[in-house]
Amino acid sequence: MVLSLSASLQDYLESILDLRESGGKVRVTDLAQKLGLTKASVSQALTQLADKGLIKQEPYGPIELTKAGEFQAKKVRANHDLLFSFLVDVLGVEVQTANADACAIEHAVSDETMDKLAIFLDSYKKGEQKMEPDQTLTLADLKVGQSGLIYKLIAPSDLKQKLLDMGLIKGATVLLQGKAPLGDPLEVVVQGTKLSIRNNEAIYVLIK
Amino acid sequence: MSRDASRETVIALVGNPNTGKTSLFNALTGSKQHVGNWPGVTVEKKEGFIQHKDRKIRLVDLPGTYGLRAKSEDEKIAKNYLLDAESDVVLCVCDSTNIERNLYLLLQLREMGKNTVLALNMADEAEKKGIKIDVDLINESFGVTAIKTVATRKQGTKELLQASLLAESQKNEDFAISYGEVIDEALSDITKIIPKTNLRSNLRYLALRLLEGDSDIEKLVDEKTLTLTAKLREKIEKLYDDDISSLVAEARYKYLSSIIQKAIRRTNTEVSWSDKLDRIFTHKKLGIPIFLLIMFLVFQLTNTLSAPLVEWIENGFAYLSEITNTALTNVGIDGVWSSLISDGIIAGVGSVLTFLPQIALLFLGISILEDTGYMARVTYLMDKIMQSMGLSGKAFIPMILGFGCNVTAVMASRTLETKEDRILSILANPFISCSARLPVYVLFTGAFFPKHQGLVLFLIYLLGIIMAIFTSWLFKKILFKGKSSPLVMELPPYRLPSFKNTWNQVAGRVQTFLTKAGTVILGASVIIWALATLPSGVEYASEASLLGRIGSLIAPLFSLAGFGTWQAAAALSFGVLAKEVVVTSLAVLFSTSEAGLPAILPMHFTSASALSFMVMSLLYMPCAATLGAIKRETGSRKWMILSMVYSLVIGLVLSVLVYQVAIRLGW
Repeated sequence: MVLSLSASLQDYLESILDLRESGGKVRVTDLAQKLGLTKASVSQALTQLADKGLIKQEPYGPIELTKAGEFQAKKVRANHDLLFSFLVDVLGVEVQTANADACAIEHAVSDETMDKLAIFLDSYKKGEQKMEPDQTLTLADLKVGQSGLIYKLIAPSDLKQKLLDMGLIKGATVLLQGKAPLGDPLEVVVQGTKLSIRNNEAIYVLIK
Repeated sequence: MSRDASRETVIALVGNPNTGKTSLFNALTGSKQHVGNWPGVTVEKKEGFIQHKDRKIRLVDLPGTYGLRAKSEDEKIAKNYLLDAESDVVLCVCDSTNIERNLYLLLQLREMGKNTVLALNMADEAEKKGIKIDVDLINESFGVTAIKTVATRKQGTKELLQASLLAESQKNEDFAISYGEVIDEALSDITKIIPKTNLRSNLRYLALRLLEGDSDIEKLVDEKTLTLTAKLREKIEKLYDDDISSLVAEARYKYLSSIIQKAIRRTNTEVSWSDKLDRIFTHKKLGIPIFLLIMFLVFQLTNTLSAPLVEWIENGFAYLSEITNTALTNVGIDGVWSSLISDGIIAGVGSVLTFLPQIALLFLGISILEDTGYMARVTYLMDKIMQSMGLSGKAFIPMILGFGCNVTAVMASRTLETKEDRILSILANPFISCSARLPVYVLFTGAFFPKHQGLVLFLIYLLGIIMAIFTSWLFKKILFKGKSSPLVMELPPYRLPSFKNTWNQVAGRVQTFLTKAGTVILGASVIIWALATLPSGVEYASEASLLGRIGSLIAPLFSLAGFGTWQAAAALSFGVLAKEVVVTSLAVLFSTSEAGLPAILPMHFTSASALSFMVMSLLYMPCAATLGAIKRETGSRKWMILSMVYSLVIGLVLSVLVYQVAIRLGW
């Protein structure tokens, strides 16, 4: 648990981490925009975080997490994900409610509870493995004549758009009808249409 | 809403590729059609005019597209037109045999707020396949008027026009589907603050596009809207652990399947003949041999059928040149002007027109293969091999065509999907040795390598292929590094080609070739004639002529390659006009006939320089008609110039290399 930090400061750390991961340098403006707050209040909170040695910021420079800050931020996020997964997967709470509740609980929960929760979820999911999709199976792994349900698309955005428009969406049935003479590309049937797709595009289509 | 009858109604034609959109366009515009081509960089957009009773209708045919999210060039044209230009009615063309995916586009059009009429095309095929469509339910669900059509037989076209004109005057119903509570709420929040734009779309659709991150629309709104959308997007994506685009696509397909379940009934589920054909044509072992056989037949037919036509054209122009000369002399015009007309214009334009039969026949073959749906299978079969050269499977057909004529090959490159692929294919293609270069090799191999004629010929062709592959590999590396275009492509069901469609395609291509390439050639002929004639008083095409001087000027450039004579240089310059002209001009320049050349050539060339001259003829520069085609197909002079410079450098380097190696081998 992050005893020494208020809930809102934890949110700041988490947001800085998010922004950094979604692309490069984090500035006060970005942070204010993301959290929906004024720049003034963001600056104030940043001073507090800097005092605690969780972030570094040169005047007018980008905001950087220190090692300690990054640790705290990741921890908050891990807590959130665990709680969210527990609420949705185990209790069957609605996604929106689960998200809001996880946000509220993540700041106030002890390390011990979180550790126990992680162990519980792990064994719970193993027991339920048949329900969980095998994420390593892709469209490219199907055998000719075999079909499967599309579980997720992990393609880069341009290709993903194209695949979606062609009807390769979550929940759709896709049949591998054949392979070209050299094993590539593949001939698949989805939404009643025959498509040709290369192996290195098919690996982005995860199959149940 | 009543409209001034004199004002024209604009109808935009939209639909997935392979839905018979072009057939419908032709069926609607009929004999009165006036087809205007926009030289779009990538895909063309056609326009036609119809007079229906007292109404004037302008029909705009947009490129086939699967969605309106504008990631690829053709989708961009369709999307931008729908958002920017004023169309009164959108006519959505749909393949009745594959209605699910087709309605996905209709859904987006309706979300955009377009006044839409739906053409359920290929209704006959659907009927044969036992597909029953509840038209009323479709109309009700989407707020459209759907009409069953068979475009190839002009069925339902009148009803379609009437429905479109009626739709124009009726109030357009609002249409929206639910994307779930969270997204719906976000959309209404964005809609409230979105600033006014000139885009012709519902606000909710724009809000949805913003939420999906459409950069074209982001440019048009204010900071406040952007901040809000970004915030909402992040919230939603985190909530569902998926991106908005996927969520939107899923919601749409879900909505569609709920309608389709009720509106469509399939009574026949046996394997279609199309699937049976595919078992043969895309067979693991037989697929490629069958393809090679088909290609061989197309080539054989093209060559056999065009040979007599080419001869007629050649003879015709020779005769025309002769009688013009006589006629001009008779009326007292001779010397310079008669030479301009007969040697310059008639001979120059004639040499290009001899390509016409081949072009027309090749495109006839290609358009039939395209219409049947076989071309998509060829791409499928060859993709792996082409990929290893940095090209897409779709570049294979242009490559093969290059052996006939580079002009047709460059023109056929337009079937490639992305601009990058098109440019790679266009730059690589001129190195494939076209039939026009064959006379040069035949002449030189006959004179210098009579015992190994076949082998030398084969090596020259092989060098061309290697250079084409090298070029596409090289430019892929330096120009389009890392850009690979996806090959997610529909394999449409096989269909019988319609005569009308095929005819339209061939006629259109022939016309383009004649008008555009013809003007380039005409200009070039006159320039070269002038160079051979000026300054006045010199003997035509002699060393004293400008051409001779230019030849002398650039000849040193070729000295390292062993053929640094002014005649060789001038012949190569002439050859830019058309490659076979190299032979004719050598005859002129050495003051002999074509038949006398083999005896004279050894006085000016050695075996080594003959070899390097052939290499040069193969590589040095695309002919004028090809250059014209490159400029037209790429839409810019830049690529044409790059192609000229690049091939000149490659030609020089390789011919020098060949010559230097050959003389060291003691030839």
